[in-house]
Amino acid sequence: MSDGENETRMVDSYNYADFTGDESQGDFAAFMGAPHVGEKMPDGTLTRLDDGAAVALSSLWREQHLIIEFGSYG
Amino acid sequence: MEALAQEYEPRGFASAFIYVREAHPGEYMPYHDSFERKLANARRFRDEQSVRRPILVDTLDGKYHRIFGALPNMTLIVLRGGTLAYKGAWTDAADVRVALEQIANIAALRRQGGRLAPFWTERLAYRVVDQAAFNAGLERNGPKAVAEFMEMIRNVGLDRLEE
Repeated sequence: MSDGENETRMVDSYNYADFTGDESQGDFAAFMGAPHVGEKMPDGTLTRLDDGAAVALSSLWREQHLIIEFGSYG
Repeated sequence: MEALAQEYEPRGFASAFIYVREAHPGEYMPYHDSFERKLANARRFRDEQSVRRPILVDTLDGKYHRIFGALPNMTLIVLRGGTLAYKGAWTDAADVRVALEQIANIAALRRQGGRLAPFWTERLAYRVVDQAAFNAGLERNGPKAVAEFMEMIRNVGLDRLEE
């Protein structure tokens, strides 16, 4: 399988069309793994909705503490 | 969580909302088949719910979300400098507040000469379930989202979810 096909499969399985509640739709065992509290947060680059800028999360916890909520509308 | 973000902002806490995949996609709230769709759904969320926290949209394949198991509504608190201090599998503002209050007081206690040492704890927390608000959300997403959730409840049982 090509890298492109692998990527397409990942995108499709992550963005499921049908909710079933099975573990691929929220992996509690993975949540219970690293990183744990007391450990360094992994950095990541995300897109800021208001202006489309690429933002490094670490830039947000450099000067202040940071509260992060994950979620969606639907 | 919006109110909490505003309340603790003057006490040194920034906030961010990371937009991830739709948990209960439906006719009116489609799953993300493109990054443009993800952005459009996030804009609807921001505008219809008057979200003032900065919304950061994860990649289409959920690269950052998946680091933490891709649960639908987690909350984390990160200390200045990047140490993870709170890791909630679900978001409950009352529980987050307890953690924020403790963190906010650390500097003041140290200034007063208190010696504080961190320790690791693990705790099962309980939240009050607002079933009416949850059901209203499913209905906003569409009949498909309602039907799929009811099917899941039939399969595992509501009691199981509240154990």
